[in-house]
Amino acid sequence: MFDDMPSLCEAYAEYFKIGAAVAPRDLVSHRGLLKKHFNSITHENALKFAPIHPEEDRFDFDDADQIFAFAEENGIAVRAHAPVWHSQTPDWVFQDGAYFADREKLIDRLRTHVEALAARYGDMIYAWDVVNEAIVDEPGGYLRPTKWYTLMGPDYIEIAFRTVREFAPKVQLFYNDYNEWVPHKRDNIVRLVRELQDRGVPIDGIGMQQHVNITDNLDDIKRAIEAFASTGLVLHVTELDVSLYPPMKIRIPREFLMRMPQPKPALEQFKKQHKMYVDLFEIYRSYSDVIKSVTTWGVADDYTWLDNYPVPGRKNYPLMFYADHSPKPFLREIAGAAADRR
Amino acid sequence: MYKEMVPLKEAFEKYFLIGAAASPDDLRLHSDILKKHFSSVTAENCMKFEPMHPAPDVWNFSDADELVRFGKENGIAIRAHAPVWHAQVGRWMFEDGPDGRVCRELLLERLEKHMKVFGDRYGESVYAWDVVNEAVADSGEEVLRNSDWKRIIGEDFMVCAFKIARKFVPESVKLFYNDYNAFFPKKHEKIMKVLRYLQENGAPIDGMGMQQHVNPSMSLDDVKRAIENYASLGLRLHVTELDVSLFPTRSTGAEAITDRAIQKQYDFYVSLFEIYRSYSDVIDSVTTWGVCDNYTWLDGFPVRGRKNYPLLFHYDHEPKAYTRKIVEDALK
Repeated sequence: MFDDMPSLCEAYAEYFKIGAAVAPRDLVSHRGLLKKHFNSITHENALKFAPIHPEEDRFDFDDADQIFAFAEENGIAVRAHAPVWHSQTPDWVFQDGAYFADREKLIDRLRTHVEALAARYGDMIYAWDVVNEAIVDEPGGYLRPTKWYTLMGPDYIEIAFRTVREFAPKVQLFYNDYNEWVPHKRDNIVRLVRELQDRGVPIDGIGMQQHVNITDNLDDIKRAIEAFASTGLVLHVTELDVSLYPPMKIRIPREFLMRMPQPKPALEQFKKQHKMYVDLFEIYRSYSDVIKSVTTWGVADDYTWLDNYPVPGRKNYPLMFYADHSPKPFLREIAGAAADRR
Repeated sequence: MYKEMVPLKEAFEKYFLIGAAASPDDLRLHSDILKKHFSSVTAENCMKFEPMHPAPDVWNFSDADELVRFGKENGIAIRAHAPVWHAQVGRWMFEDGPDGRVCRELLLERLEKHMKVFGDRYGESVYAWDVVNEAVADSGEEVLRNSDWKRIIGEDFMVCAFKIARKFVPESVKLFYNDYNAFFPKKHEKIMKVLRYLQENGAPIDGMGMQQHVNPSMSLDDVKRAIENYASLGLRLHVTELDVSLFPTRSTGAEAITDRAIQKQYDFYVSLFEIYRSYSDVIDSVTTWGVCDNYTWLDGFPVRGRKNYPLLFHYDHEPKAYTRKIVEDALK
């Protein structure tokens, strides 16, 4: 009734998959939207290390199972995300009694983890973000000094990709990162991918998270797509959202922010978001020979990870569907533009 | 490919004024919506007692002046709201008389002083005034809520308030009693008693303001019955503070909103406007409590941290799906 728009993923069938990151509750609350407009799904959290493997001898598959069942029932493809990351990994992984785990122990645990997930879900996954956010934000640096890096060694990325390929031979394997269009970070991603390729590491794609805001530079994004495409790998946009707010220029302590009433977004910000989304999809379409999947990090504005983050008390509206699950005007344009060229 | 909606105020021209309560922030952030779609604006706070008159000799006119100017410049009528209320009245009004306490006479004198200043400044600029707000008790057998007004002046404080208000504003300003849950059967009965009492005791009351802070679990039949009963007293009716919450009052709220809740809100909004239109011979004005979902008093109330979307426009200023339907129905 209030969603009279044609199916987004059908409109984009010739270009790329249209995906959304979901939690189990979304399968109920946003069922209609997901079934109609999306043909790819990513577990927002349920496949991450900590939620699915909270203790060494205990897996918790319930949430992940629900999402796989929904996907299978509705013919929706699944992107898996993300075992090797510096965040949302339980402490036990890196510990051995009172000591840190050593390289062998860590490799062993990673293999156990991947083997279990691959055995259960391997056949239902088309792409897997094997390593997430391994590169530092600051210019001049390269790999992030995570526990994986420190305890397993600088070749932990290579080991991770080889391990996942071993247990899930048919799944496309991705390296995934944010701020990936920022020139120095972009160059580091290309460097990492080329190093992996030179060593014959099984990597199939680069995941561009695309957590952007209304002031980000589209030329930088285009240049990043071209640089990533030059590796010969497939590209996925994995976590798209367009925040209404540019990042803060100065660091304000959280306790202070919490006491400040947050200003409401002005019309101008929504207009910029509209234009940004339309332009981004135009870019994605023009590179659809290399971009095979575009996923938003969430479904509709009623819930987004950008609510209260990074600014407490601030609501954000960064997705393609309104909080009431109806399509925003730019989405009609985006769907229309795809249909026009066909 | 997406059809521009006929402005609300045009679609409802032959039925009633379409209003929104506005804050200074709304005039800054949402003036495009107000100018295009609304024929009435209510002062959300700036014409209440304390915001305008926080101390005996201190007056804040700037927000109200700005609102009146905005209305004049854009041909939008202004609803005034609401001096005699149990909330947002400075303590100084009820304390500190010559013997340390305030008596009936002194409080009435102070009210008269307030209303004279208000009337002199804004009497020509507003078309309706919620003189008394929310005086009726929600539960129990008592008809009237305990308030300083009632305690100090006595049971007839409303009669006095309406008589004083009438002295200082021209006839063109219609005087209203305003309340919430005014269609809940028990409260409705009490309000009917109060309105009859006011009429019998010579209070110059012109209309009944039904706030209509509602949610889809409430009874539309009760709404209809209330409208008919209020109208039977010969009063004009305004819907003064409409919003349709996505959530039942007692729900604890969830992070995500369900398709089902959205459908219910849609149906409820559409039905409400159908009812309002069918009583447009007695309803002169329908006002939402806020402009668009960017900001509503229901954000975080009554459930902390829960965002609500109860208005006619999305946070990005676009009309919502039910708004399009409501306009479509009005144009039929």
